[in-house]
This record gives sequence, structure tokens and C-alpha cells, in this order.
Amino acid sequence: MDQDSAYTREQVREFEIVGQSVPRVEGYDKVTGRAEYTDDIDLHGMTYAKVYCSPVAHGIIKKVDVSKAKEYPGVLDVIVGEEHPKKYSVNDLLPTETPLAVDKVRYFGEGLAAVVAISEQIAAEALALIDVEIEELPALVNAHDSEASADNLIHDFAKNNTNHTAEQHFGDVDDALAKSDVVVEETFYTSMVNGGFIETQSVVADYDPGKRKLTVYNCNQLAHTLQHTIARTIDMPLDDIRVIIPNVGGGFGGKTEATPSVLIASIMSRKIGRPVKLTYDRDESIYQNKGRHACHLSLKLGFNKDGTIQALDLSILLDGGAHSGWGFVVLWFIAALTHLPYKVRNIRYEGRRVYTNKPTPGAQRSFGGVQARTAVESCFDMAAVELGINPYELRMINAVETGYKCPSVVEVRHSEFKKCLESVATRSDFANKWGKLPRGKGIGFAAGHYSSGGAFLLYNSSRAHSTANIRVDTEAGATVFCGVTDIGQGSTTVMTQIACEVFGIPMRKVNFICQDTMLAPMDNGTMDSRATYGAGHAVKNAALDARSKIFDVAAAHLGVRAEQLQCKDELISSIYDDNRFINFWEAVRMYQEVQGTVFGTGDYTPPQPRGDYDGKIIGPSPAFGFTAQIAEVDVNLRTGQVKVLKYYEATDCGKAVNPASVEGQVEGGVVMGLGQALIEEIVVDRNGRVLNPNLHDYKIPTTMDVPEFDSEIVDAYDPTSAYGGKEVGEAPTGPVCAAIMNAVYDAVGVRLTEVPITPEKVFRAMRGQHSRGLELETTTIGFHNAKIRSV
Amino acid sequence: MYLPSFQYLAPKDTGELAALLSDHGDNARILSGGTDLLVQLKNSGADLGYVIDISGLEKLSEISYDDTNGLVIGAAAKLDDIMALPVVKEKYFALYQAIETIGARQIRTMGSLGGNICNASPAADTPPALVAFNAEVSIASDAAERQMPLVDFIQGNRKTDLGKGEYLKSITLPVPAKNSGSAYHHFRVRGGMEIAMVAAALSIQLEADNGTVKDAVIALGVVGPAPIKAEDAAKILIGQKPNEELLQSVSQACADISQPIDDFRASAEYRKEILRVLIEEAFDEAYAQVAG
Repeated sequence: MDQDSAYTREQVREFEIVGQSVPRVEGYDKVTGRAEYTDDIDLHGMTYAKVYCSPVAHGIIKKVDVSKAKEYPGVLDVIVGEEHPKKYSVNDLLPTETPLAVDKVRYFGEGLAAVVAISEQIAAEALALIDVEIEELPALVNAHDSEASADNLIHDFAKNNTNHTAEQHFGDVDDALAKSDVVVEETFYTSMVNGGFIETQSVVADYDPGKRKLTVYNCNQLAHTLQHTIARTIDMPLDDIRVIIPNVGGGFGGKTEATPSVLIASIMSRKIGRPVKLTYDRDESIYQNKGRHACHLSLKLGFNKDGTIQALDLSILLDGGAHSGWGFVVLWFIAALTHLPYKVRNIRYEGRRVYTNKPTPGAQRSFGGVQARTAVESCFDMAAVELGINPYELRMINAVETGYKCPSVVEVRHSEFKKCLESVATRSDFANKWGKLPRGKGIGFAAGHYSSGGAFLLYNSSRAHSTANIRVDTEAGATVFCGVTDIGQGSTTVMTQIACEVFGIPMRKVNFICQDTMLAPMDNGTMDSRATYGAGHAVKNAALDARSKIFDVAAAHLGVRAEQLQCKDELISSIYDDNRFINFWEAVRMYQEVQGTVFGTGDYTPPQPRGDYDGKIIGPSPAFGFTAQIAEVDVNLRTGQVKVLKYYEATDCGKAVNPASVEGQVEGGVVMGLGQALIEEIVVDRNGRVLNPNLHDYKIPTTMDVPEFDSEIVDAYDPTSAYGGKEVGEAPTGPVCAAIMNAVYDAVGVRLTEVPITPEKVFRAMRGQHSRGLELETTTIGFHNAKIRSV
Repeated sequence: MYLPSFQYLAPKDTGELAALLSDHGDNARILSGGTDLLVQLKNSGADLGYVIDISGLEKLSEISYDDTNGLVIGAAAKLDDIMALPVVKEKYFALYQAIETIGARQIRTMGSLGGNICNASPAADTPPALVAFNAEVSIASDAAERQMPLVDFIQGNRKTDLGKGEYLKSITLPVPAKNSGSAYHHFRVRGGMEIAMVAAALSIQLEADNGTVKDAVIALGVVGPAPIKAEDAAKILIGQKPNEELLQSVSQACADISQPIDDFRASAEYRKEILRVLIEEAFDEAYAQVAG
């Protein structure tokens, strides 16, 4: 299919637009405020909804009396949970949620009723007239307590409040650990954090009573998945629902699920026949969380004296919050992500996810990756000390390379991981600093990886993961229709670059239509770092399909075989004879005169690895991105405050289609990791009440908190990818907590095992005190002096 | 999160302001920069009679300095404008440092010094620095004008000595003595848009010849409902040449009288430890300004 001049150029990896830091297609609009977000939409006859949020985290609903609210002037309707008891979830495996609470409340802030009115303020005022009675039950706010609580069940069907369990065993871990020269063992805790996207979730649902069709505008990452969720939950035919995703003000995985607001607005719009807007305030957004799972991890790593890793034994407990959500995927993903990027053959994993009365976490950026890397990269550091091998060398000894096949079906088809390790070690002069800096100054190494989209679809069907359609004509240029969502990561720009590269035309000649289920074909959506790799393939294939039709016309006109044509700067010419050329649009015009509009279509589905074991469908990916990171910190010996002075990073994202966007992803991803490492945590009191549901008390890093960056995109090209590119959106977030922990250890000799690493935790650790067990907190494990067993 | 309904009043001069307050004082809030007030009104949910906007009153925005009266700052003067005056950085460095840490540029452009004081947040940055300079406040009404030390004006969490019909007119910082230095040190977990967890301000005067402390004022912030003037701790310094042991006893004395809260952000015990560090660091900085 691809035997042409473009292919020839790919052999030498020379491109016109791929690899250029072209400005974002939507950049002007976003910078000037022209860009329209969901809450900016103003439809004729718009109405506004507000949700009554539960003041308790766990309880039996005795009464929700909305009669007075219904009579409040300006109120159009009020709904309660029992009117719409159908359960939903991000997949059909375990639906646990309802649009509004039915019979029972399971988390603080859960919706009990919703009011729709002619203004948002009237809707908010009417909420005060709703009379609610709840018989409060003891809130379960700690995953360990929840598991041990046999008779206080959050969901009746979930024994011991267990949501999912997972087990995997490859090789013989007990034997390998027994034979290892050094075994390191430690327990860790990673906190529940929120994505902190600046745009809170917003929805406009517009039901057309005449056509009996529903249009939903929502800042979601997965248009087609959302469409399915709405259809199933409110019982409408799929093709009567159109989902449109306006500009998205940050997603980070938190917007891969349907919030209750989407279903509430859809139900209400259908009921009153007018468009309904529902935008969460920040506190409501945090009650809906979908951030990162808090996780208790217990890890053992076995090594031989020469540094080769022998075994990995991990057990974890995930704090699942009130609902199922993406939980089972996170649970299995940790299994899949823990052992890569190292060549370990004996692997045992036991994971449990339990319900608690907390905001439900989900699939936040580097989901499963942060938890796994925090434990593994810390233990690598501990092992390095024990083995007397520099942490960089220890990672080099075990690093995966192109072609590595895991004991599972996971296969690494391309890796420049070692280049990443080498790059940061060299640039930071790691060997001369590690263990050699003055007390209070430290340097820490950590590394990681992430998948470029799953090999298997988790829902829906066995159809292609991505499809793109292209129309080329002289009336509109080249117009690409593709279902992928730009959540700020730059997929629209990257997809446009890919189409331009195939056609040999400038950026402004390509229109990219996405984020609309009526216009764009089915796509798996933006999650799991799959856009550039997955949708990129589909766009390239569609463009090649369209181009072959245009080249056929040009070939006949020029008397040159089509496969000997190339197009550059809108001129189609013979690769052998520059004098034989025709303008690209002239060829398009000629095609149109005879056959009409040029259409092209293309799709992509990753290879489906064969094998059969529990959890197999989660983890395999057509490509993995890699990262290596080094943090230099200053630890204040009196206050315990950690200041990150400098951050080194090296990324293998294959070919960077847009290097400026890659840099943005890397640095943004690291900063998100720094937030979790140092300051971020959703804090819940013993009654399940969220204590910091605002961005004043829930602290995300500001520009003032960002260290000096020294990042590098290592020279790489993944030949399995459309233009050599692969994942970069998530890997950089994974190892940050561990890099900081390792640097703090290097600085002051204490190993923190719990994030966020607050000044007080470091202060106490330096004095040999355990963290105080705050009763209101659910999370404190404390620090441990490293437990290392030498055999 | 909506503003409650209220009547907006914008007096043209201080006379009109005093008259409006006399009429509506019980049912009115004064709007200066709005960086605290608007957020509070949105959260209050309760309707309010009047909001009286003083941001347009030039007289309340004036800032002046002379060697007799010292620094006189109108209550509505913007934080950013105060910081920009060279004399503030030169003679009232602790105040400069305190303003510099507030919020972000946007907040400092809108926010006023009078607002930071009258809001009476225990975590406010400028009050401890002002206390360290023995600042006095002028309080006016249509009937009279009175002066009092700032440290007495702020009475507790969100509580000031403003009576019915009164408004804060200006803040006066006396001319610092020769051979004096000052510093404001705070502790916070984020680099911007953040409030202090603990703060300390001090000003010291040294004997010209030998580096002995002649006078000292120490103010503690965020470790009680209002700024605390640590007079006993300051006395330890007077007549002494500073050394590590002396400073430790000073910081211990400060920690002893502090009353920090204990919550999910940090324990009270830890806040006291931090206070000691801040006192010692602030002293070192202020001392170095004079002794070099």
C-alpha cells in the first residue's frame, strides 16, 4: 500500500511537516479567548440545571421531598434518583452508578435531586427548598477498614466491599526470590489526587422533540463511548444521539467517563424539550473526582550479585471510592506496567480493589503507572545501594530493548529506553553526584514507560480502533473526519501534520473535523496515549487512499507511473523527472470533473497478541514510550521542605511528530507528577467529607513551583508507527514520585515511602519519628527505614 | 456561588463615605480591591444591604513618606503600588517582603493594604510586618477620627476594632531608627497563590558601634487568631550581642506563646518548630542588613 515516494522518504526519515514544531491549529483561539468551551454554548431556549449534593458520605435515603422546589418561580422541573434507577458504568462489566442516588448515598456530594430552571441562579436557589432526610451509616474511608468490614457494605452485592481482584503469576517467584543474592522489600502508599483540569465538567443536552433526537455537548475524551453510555442509560437508540465535544480545558483521563451531570441533563432535556446546561462548580467536580487511585503497595524485588533482576513480587490494595468506573482496568494495568521496562521473568501480582465512601477515582494520566513506578523505582534505588551498583547502571543492566517479549503476551516492538537512561545520566553527571553531594542536597534516578493504546478494545465491538475518512476537493481543500479528541495534548495539530505529510500540501489546506459522532467515524477516543499512534495510522491510511486516486489522475496526465510520483509544496511530480509535474489541486480538479469528490478512508487496529490468562486484554500495546528522569533536590534540614532544583528527562516517543508538543507533554507530565510527589492529595475526614474540594486547599503546582528543566527527545523511530511516533502523554508522569523519593534519600538518608512528601513528613523522618496518625486522615502509613535482606 | 443582591454605592469623597457608613454601617460592607470580599460574598449566600466602593477615593489611595511622619499609606492603596515605592524596599523591607508573597501579580494589583488588614485573616501577610514596625492605624467616622496601634486594631479571626460608621483611613509606619533592619519570613508549601502556614516579622535596631541590639520588635503571624507581638521574646535580645544560644532562647520564647492550629495541613507541634526557624532566619537577615 505504501510503496511510493513517501515510503522512500520514510526509509531515510526525512519529512516536510512531520517533525516540525508547527503552531497548534487551535492555538490562536485558545490564547485569545475565542475558543468555545461547553459552558460558553448558548442555545435558543437554554435552561440551567443544578444538583443537590449529599451532605453525608454514606447513608440510607429516607426522604427527598422536592415539592416546594418544583413550585419555586422559574423552576421547570425537578427529578430525583428513583425516577431513573438504571445503572451505568464506563463499560458494561459492572455498572454501579445511577444518575442520581437511589435508596442509598455512597459518597459525599453524590446527587440526590436535580433542578432545572430558567436561570442557574434560580436553580441554585430552588435547591435550598429540597427537604432531605438521610439515615447516616458509618463511612468507610480507609481501604483496609473497608475490606475488613463484613456487615457495613457500600454495595449489597460486593462482599467485603471488594470490587475486583486480580492475580497473575509468571515463572516461579518463590524459587527465584530464594535463589536471589539480594532481596529488597518495602511497602508504599500513593495518594488519591485529582486531575485539576481548569475546565470543570460541563454539559449541554439538547433534545429535539420533533425529531426525537438528542444532541449532547460535553467536554469528554471519548465521544463514542459517551454516546453508548447515554444510549444505554436513558434508553435511547444509539443513532438518535449525537455527541459533540467542544474545546476541552484539560482531561488527564478524568474526562473519560460520563459524569452523572451528562445523564441528568439528557434526561431533563428530553423531559422538558428544551436545551439544558449543567456545569459543575469546582467542589462538585472534585466530588466526582475520577482522579488517581490511592494505592497501598507491597513489593519484593530479587537480584543477583551482578545486578540482574530475578523476581518481582507485588501485592496491592486499591482504594476504589464509591463506584466501579475504570477501576478494574487500573487494577490490571498495574499488573502489566510493574515489570516493564525491565527484563524480569518471574512475576507475581496480587491486586484487590475495594469500595470506600470516597470520590471515585478513575484513569488519570499514567494510571497504574504512578503507583507501579513509585514502588519499583524506589526498590531499584534500595537495591542499588545494597548491591553497590550505581542506580543508572542497575537500570541499564535490566533495561528492555527492541524485540523483548515479556513472560506475558506483552511485547516491546521498539525501544530506545537505554538511550533515555544514558541521556539523563550523562547530562546530569549522575555518577559524580549520586551519594557524593553535601547533606541536604540529593539526586534521584527513576524511569518508566507507558503504552500507546491497548491492543484490545475493552468495550463496544471488535471493529477498528480508529477510522478516518477524508474528502478532498477544490471547494474545501482536504477535510479529515476522525473521532479522536483533542483535550489539549495537540492531536488535531498532529493529525493535520500527518495528512499534510501524505498529501504534500500546507497545514492551512487541511481541515480536521473530529469530536462529533455524527461527522466523525467510530474511534476509541483519547485515552491510554493512543491518539498519535492509533488515530495517526488511520489518518495516514485514509490520506494514502485518497492520494492514490489523485495520483492516478496525475499519472495518466503526466505519463508517469503513479508509484513514481511524489507531492511536495502542492506540486505532484515524477521522482525521476522534475519537469514532469502538475499542481496538486489541478489534479484534484481533474478527478472531480470526471468522478466527483475524492474520498479516502483508512483505519487501524493494533495486532492482537495470542495467549490466554487472566487480565490478558489489559497491558499489551502495539508500542511503548519510555522515559528516564533525574531530580536534583534541596532538602531544608530544619524544616524538611523539599525543593526541586533541576529536573532532567529523556523521552523515547519514537519520532516526535511535533517536538514542541512533545516538550509540552513531557514537562506538563512531570509537573503533574511533582504535584502528587510534593503537595497534592484529596483529604477526606472520618465521615467521608472532602476537606479540600477547591483549588485553594487542594494545591496544584503553580509556575513558581516548576524547576529548571533539561529534557531531551532521544533519536528514535518506531517503524511500526504511522510516522515513527508513539506515546509521550503519560510515561513522564509515572516515575516522578520515585525520582523525588530517591533524591530525598540521597540528600538526607531517609526513605520516604508515601506521597505527598510534605515538609512535616520529611521533618519527622529525619528525626526518626513516624508520621503522626491523624485520625481524620485515611492515608498515613509513615516512612520506613529501608528493610533490606542480604542473603 | 452567586453574589447576593445588594445596592452598590460609590461615594465621591470621604465625607460622603462617612455619611453613607453612618446611615448604613450595620448593613454594609466596604469594597476596596475586592479580592477577599467578592469571594466571601459569593460564599455567604446571605443578602446584604449595601456595598460601598472606596476604590475610587484618591485620598484613601495616597501614599506618602517624610522623615518626620514616616510612611503614611491610605487604606485603599494598592499592594502593588506600595511595593513599587523605593522607600518601602529601602526602609520597610519586611513590609516589602510581606507584600511580595501575597497571591500573584493580579491579586496584588487589585488588593489593598487596608483590605488585607480589615479582612483580619489569621493568615494575612502584611499585619505581622506592620506590627514589627509599630504601625498605627487611623480610624475615621463622620464624627471623629482616632488612632491606635495596629496590633490592637486586629482583635481576632475576622475581627477588628472598627465600630459602627467607622472606616480604616490610613496606616502609619514611624520612621525607622538609624542602624535598623527588618525581615518577614514565612513558610508555605506552594510557590505562588498561597497563604502562609507560619510567618514571623521583626525589626531590630543595633548600637552604632558594637552590634549590640538596642531595640527589637517581633511579630508572629498565622500562629494565633491575630498577629502576636512577642514582647518578652524581644526583650531577651535587647542589650545583647546575638549568638546562636541567644537566638534559640528568643525563638523558643516565641514558640512558647504561639497558638498554632493543628489540622490536616500540619500539626501544631510542627508549626511551632517552623516558627522557631523563621524567627532565627528573619533575625539573621535583618541583622545582616545593619551589621553587614
